Amino acid sequence: MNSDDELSTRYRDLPQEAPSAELDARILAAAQAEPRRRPLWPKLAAAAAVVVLSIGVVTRIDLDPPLNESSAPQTRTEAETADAAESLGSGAAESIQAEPGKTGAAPAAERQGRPRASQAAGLPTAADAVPDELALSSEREAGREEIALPARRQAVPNLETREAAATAPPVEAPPPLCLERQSARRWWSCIEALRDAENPGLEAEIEAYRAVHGDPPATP
Amino acid sequence: MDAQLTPEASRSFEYPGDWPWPRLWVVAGPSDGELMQRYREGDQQAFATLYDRYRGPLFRFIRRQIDPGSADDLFQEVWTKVIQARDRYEPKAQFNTYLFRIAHNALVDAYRRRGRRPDLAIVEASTLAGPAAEEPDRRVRQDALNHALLSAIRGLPAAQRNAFLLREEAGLSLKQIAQIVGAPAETVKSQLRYARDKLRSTLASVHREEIQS
Repeated sequence: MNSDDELSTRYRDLPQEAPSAELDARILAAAQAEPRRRPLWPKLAAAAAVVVLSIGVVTRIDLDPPLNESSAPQTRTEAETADAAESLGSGAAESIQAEPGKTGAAPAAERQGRPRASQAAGLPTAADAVPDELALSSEREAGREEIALPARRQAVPNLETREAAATAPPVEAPPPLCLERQSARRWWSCIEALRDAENPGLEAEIEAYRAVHGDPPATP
Repeated sequence: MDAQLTPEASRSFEYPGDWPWPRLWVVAGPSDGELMQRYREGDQQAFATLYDRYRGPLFRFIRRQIDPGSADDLFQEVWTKVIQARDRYEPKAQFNTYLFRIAHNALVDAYRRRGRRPDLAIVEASTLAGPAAEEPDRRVRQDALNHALLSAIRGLPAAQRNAFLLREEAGLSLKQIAQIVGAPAETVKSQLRYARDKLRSTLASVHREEIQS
């Protein structure tokens, strides 16, 4: 027994064991059985779920308004709050304005020089809607037709709220009614519009105009 | 006219696993990979052919490393895995490498389940019986040698026994054995050399005792 070949020969001389006939039959029978297929329903359920979710997402996107239109309800809410304050009386309007964090507190915060979150976000507010609306007519007269946002028009009722706040006992100096003061023509157009609306702060505005631009132009 | 050994023809050269066939590469019909492919497509006869090729070597590979009762179970488990994986089988490696890797892993799992080395002390008398026509003295001597060889094989460390049986029983190359056991080919070569040295030494001592007696 000196080489690998001799050892291999000796190994081959060992009795050849083999599986029993019964074991052979069991294995061959198992091989003939149909392979157990994986159930199909999980795949179908997953596909159906994907389809339903996709349809839901698409429908949701279609129903949601665009982002620039989404600011309108907020302004409307502020206007409704101001209307409610007016209907309750000037005291209620003050209490609403005095509460920071509520939508009606915007004019008071503006008077104190604090920027509002909606202003920071570039959204139109109830406070700046009044001068914007008044300035709109002057812009039209100047031939510059500006695209007015729906939110601006919906904020027009705040003019009455502003009047209610003006009739209330003044806590601080009223804010300037016309923001456009650089251009004499626009400022005077704003004052004309205030005159039409019978604004009580009109005289102060005219005095301010005279102080800056001198005598107003003659009314046609 | 001699057959040309083209790549196509070489795939049909199969080693008929069962001993005592001469260890030669002979033309034996379709390759293992082709048989598995046909079996995937529903040809039951292809599996029967494949099973007939490997039933002996695989059974002995398992039987010589574990007790008889567990050997039957493991043998069936290995073939069951082959049957269940028929749809996923891809002929990347040779089928015999694939088959004996499954068997090797099943044996390792069986060792782990037991938590100790397999009980290899059981040597059935039937496995030692030689041909009935042989002379009684020669038969006794042959039985003694067989018993000694089988005992020596079972006494080998598991890695050496694995390498030796995969080489002798399955006819695998060093590279294939290395793939199956997950060790470098040089390591397998060393294990094989140690195993053969031990077996030779055992058989030589048995031979000397016979001469002395």
